[in-house]
Amino acid sequence: MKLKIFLIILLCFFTSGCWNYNELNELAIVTGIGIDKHENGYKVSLMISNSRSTQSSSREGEAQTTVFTGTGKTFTEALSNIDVKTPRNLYLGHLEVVLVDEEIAKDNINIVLENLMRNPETAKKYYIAIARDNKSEEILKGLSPLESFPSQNISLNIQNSSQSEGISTEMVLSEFIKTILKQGVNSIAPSISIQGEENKIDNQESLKETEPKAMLKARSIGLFKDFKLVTWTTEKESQGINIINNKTERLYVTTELDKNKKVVVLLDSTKCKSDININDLNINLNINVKGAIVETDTDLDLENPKTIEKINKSTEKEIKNLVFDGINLAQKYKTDIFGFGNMIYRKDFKYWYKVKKEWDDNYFPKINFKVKVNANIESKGALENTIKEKKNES
Amino acid sequence: MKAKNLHLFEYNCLSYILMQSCFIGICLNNLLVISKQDSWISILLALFLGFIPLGIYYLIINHNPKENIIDLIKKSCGNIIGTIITVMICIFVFIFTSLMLWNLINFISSQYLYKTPHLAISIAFALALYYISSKGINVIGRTAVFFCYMIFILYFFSALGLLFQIDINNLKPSFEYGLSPILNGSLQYIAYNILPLFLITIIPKDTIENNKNFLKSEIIVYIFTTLSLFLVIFLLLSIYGIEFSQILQYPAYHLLKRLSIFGFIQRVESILSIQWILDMFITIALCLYFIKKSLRQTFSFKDHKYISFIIVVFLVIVTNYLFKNNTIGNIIILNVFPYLLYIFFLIIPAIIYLISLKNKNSLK
Repeated sequence: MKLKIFLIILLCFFTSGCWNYNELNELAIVTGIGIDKHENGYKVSLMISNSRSTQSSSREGEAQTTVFTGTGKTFTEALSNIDVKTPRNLYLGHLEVVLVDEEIAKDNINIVLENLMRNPETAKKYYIAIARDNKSEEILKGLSPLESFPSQNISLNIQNSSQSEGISTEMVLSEFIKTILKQGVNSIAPSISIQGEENKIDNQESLKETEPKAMLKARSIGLFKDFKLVTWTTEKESQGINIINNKTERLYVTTELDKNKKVVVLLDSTKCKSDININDLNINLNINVKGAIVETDTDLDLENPKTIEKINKSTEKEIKNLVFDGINLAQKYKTDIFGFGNMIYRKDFKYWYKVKKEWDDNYFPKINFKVKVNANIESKGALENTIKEKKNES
Repeated sequence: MKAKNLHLFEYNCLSYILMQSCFIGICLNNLLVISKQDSWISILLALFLGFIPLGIYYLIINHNPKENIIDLIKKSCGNIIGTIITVMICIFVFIFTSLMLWNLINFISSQYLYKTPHLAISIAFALALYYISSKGINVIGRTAVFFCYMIFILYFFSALGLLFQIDINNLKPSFEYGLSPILNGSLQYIAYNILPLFLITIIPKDTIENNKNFLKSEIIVYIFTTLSLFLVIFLLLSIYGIEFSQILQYPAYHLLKRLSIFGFIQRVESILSIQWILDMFITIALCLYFIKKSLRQTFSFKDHKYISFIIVVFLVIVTNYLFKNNTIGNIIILNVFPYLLYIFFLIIPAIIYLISLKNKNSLK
């Protein structure tokens, strides 16, 4: 009996989950990490989202975060450097975004991936983005009049520009590494930079103005070759790449039917199927798009099926141009970001092992693409015809 | 009449848990190394090959429904050799238990409690293990049933949240490395996921209630478990692909991080992964029961509670010094341990059964 009581008491101590416990007020919750090149090696900036200012301030737009920085020869060393500056334990469980300096991305992004992937604390579902034209530390400090947390501002920016414009891409860490590890495919990553007066990005006063002097903007995609960033895309090229990779959710396309007869079409369904002919390295891309007319300042008769067919053809041409823009850039920089190499590997692995080493440099740039687009403008929004055409009729 | 103390359903639940417990962290990682993207084919092949050990265990259990494997060893090999074989099997079961506890602690310490010393985690489990193993097979059986319901629910939600993320392209190309790795993978699967069924031969068939449908229910449980593990590896490979799965220490746990049910239930990997902890816990408890029961039968101990306590304390100590590091542990798990499993859980029992069969025939 005594032994039982002793064991029950002992069990209480061991099953309470209190070993090395941390109270919430002892944790520094990190929601954003920025990694820049530094003369010592690396400069790491951590955005702590439960700083004291959250307790004293509740005004919308006011900074509720603090950015700590540290330097070191390695990423871990830089993190430890911050650890000694903060009175609280760093907690990476709520990490939302990791910004990597353009210089590091061009050199070797692996140093960042290794550490973050090994850390069991992080959920690996956070965005990875490249800080373009600005240091990631500056971007992390970027305030927004609409979002309280800069990390949330960055991730929502990337999400929006990816989902509604197709100019960026949503890339979480595990997906990025998964793509790098796959055979015959290279990765891409979104980028972000400061638009406006860079020195006012962390200015509280700037937020009180009707038009902030500086704000963060998600920009186009960075193309990687293995662990190195090789080039940036333009917005059109990004859209083309996203169409081929089936990552387009919504896309606005402006088509010109005749002179000064522009029609804006919103594509809400874009599906691309690719088929490769290994013998002569020909790739057929079949793209099906569906959408609706959202704007036109013409007197087009939208009740006439021939007009709709004309818009369809014009949209198809526009999509084709976007797709070829993306393909040409990838071929120019010899990086197969579409995974056509992986497609060959899946189809004929014996052939793949023959071409694997030279795929990016010698085979991928020589691929012939045949693009077939099938556009179907299904609806015209709330209007049946154009206002101008109706006025002409009456 | 001998007291019946285990229901057939409890027995089936124990079988289900035994077949699952070595998958996460042990067999799954081995399969990814050996069979690579064809691991799912290895499991399907193992489903057919596994009927061989399953049949042998059925014959052993059915040989004399009133006796367990220890009685059979004693009768077949005599007192001295029988004792030696029993002690050898007990030592191996102890090492197997230690491996299970090592995997359990390793999983917990690498994914949840990375700042907690291994010893503290093992002591927390050791107390519960001591309690359950000192209570007897009926308590282990009832706990297994309760855990099984929890495991089914957690498994269902895990599969539901991941089914829509499947990309079949990740499973291609098939048969890239030929048939040999697939067969090797199947043998690994059988070693870690079917051979532990040997442990339930410690329960005499006669002590199981409603054992009329014993064979039928065992086959159903066997097929169901294998297919459920097939689904785990199928989901893993089709969602993550082989390259990414191979670099992760616990890829199945990592996969749960991607889980999203109806778009709003997310970040529940810690809750869902409890199913594996429950599996391992019950298997360790059954191993301890096997050792205790074997020693009691062989050396006629009276007070079994102290045996449990000593075994558990010894287990905690050995587990903490089992492998020098994870790398060595993984090499042994991949290259050495499967052979030992085949020797102690299949070849020796099969030989003993053949000897007993021969003795039976010569008596006639």
